[in-house]
Amino acid sequence: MPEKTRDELVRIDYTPPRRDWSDPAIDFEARKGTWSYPAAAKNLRYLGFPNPRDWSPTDEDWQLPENWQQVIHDGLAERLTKYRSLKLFLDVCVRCGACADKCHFYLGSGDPKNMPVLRAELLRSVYRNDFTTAGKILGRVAGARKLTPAVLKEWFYYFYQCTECRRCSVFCPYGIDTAEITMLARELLNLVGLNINWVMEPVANCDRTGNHLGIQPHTFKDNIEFLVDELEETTGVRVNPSINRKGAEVLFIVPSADFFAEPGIYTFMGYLLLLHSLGLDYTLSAYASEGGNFGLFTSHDTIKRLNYKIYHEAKRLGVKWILGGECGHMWRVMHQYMDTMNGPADFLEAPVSPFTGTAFTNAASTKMVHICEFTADLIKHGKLNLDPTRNDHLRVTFHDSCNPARAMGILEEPRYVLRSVVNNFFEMPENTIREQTFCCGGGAGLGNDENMEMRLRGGLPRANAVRFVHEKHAVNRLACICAIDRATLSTLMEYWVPEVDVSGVHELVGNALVLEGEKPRTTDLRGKPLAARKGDADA
Amino acid sequence: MSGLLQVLQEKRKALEERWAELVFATYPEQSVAFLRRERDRFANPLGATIRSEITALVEGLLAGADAAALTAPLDAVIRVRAVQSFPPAEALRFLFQFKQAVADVLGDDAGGVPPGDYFALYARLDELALHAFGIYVGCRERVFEIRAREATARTYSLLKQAGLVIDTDVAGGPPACPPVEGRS
Repeated sequence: MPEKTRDELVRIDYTPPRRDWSDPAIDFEARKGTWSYPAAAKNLRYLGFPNPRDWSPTDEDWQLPENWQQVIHDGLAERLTKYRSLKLFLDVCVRCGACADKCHFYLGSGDPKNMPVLRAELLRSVYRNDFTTAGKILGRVAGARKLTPAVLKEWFYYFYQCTECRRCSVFCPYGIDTAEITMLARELLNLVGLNINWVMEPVANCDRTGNHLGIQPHTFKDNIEFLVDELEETTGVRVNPSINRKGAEVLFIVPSADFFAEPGIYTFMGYLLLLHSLGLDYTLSAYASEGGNFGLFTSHDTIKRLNYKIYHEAKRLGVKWILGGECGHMWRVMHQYMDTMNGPADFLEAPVSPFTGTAFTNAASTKMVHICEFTADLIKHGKLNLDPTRNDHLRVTFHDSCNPARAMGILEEPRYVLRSVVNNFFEMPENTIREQTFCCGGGAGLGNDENMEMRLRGGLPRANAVRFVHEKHAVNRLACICAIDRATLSTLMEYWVPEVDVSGVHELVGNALVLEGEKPRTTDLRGKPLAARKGDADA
Repeated sequence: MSGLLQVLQEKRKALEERWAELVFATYPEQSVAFLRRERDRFANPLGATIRSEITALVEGLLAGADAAALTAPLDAVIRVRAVQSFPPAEALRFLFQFKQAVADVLGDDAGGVPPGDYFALYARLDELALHAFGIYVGCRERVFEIRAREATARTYSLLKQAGLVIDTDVAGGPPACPPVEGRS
């Protein structure tokens, strides 16, 4: 080997070899950590979904039905007729690129196929090929692609890499809702048995037992009692929530993670204290024990099937209206689908707060009120005795959960509540909150542990903004109003900003709420000592 | 001819720019323009992180800072690349790209630099690389730790009732938020 000159030695090429990024082939083995496990056959069988089998994306043969191309083609044809919006979204995109750099997965990964426009293009190209004259004649020149096994595998990979957060749609000049494209693409994938277990198991459990984990009524009850005991230890007050009680005025529906998962349980404790202090005549239900609706990530029929339980239970119990807890996609379903899918709920009354007389006219049709609206109204009317100094050990910022923010516009209520219950509140930068909020990276069924690397990438934009307020204002608490957020943001924080913990808004309400007959509080609902206050030393 | 560090100090902006460019080039071609163009740190966290931390690394390397003092900027870049689609070697390639950036900005000046200067600077880079291995492994371990912790958190109250979790809260009160390290 000839001796290199010193100049040559200095000039070594450290640039990695270029790869062809347009190749549809996905090496699932090499990309572990960025895809979710397929649905277990038992869950598909239970739900009556097609093609139940045991398989893995790393298998060469995905055991598709023999006529899978026809099934997808017919499925798309049916949906193009059924949903005018789908046809419009597929036809109208001019690839202006406004959405391209708005997806959290794109921003965290740099993978161009996480650009919303390209993700949609995966489906759009097949649509062009099968349904447009230009695509049929001109093929690839017109941006058309045949649906090959490699393209289908690419669909599975990328449509289960969209959290349906709808940030991209905020920026689309045509109003294309890429989340809807993902929803429809997932419907098509479901037709040939390509689904993920983190969605289908909760769906099966909700359908059978009423909640994601499949917790049965006696365990549900035991668990509530356990939380009531914990609360009594902290506050000295014994709250008494009822379950399945006929004739209650209000049915209270929460995401099930609030009574099982850490840190959701502290939010649930906050709800219990609030409703107890008011003396609201409410009941929980062991039958409709889940506000979350993973049908939203499966198919329209499944949304309807799971959502129906709430009205069914409201009717059976004879309540007047429904109060809903802090959940994200639950509220997208309530706000945008419930009324037309399972309503009108004529057997219920238009909700009116028994404490302030406020009529929630926005919920006149669905009969379902968001707890942040309910609490903000109580605070506005001076109905709560609050001591925000009990949250002085916390420096709080607020993450707008995607669905409440973008799908129903709950932007001010949680902020109003927070400003009333904490003294130290700091906003994250403008382009990362409200309608422009960044997703947690774990919604739409992607919050499973095998998909962790993708979640951490997708969570980078959110975590980056949290780190900013942590460094600038010493923020140590990230509040949100979504159960998936509470679970997945906790994980994000542990990786990106470990000094920050995550909680629901009503956990902080519970900390601040002064109850009749309570013992002096020395800790918050988590058992963390409160900040020393003036006069404490004298006492 | 003045020493290497002095020359590089004079060309510091170009060195930072070139190094960042090389790191951007490790991402898919279609994304490089965006990573380079968008300067808002919240709209482009990846590009902004690479830029700002490389600036800090260049400053440290030229000032003779030891590896431990550069933990923060090193960690910030590695933490991102450790969860992106890079095999370990590719994730850490960015550090060695510093050598190419130096060569590129020196251009014709390279020949006049005393070899000992390269040796001294690259010895510091080697130290940084060794430190980087530790950070990278720490990030990967963290990914698996949080996967395990999350599994417990999901059913926390059920496990607690069943006596299957032990809180680290010695005061015996209700469960404190488990500490980041060693959650039960």
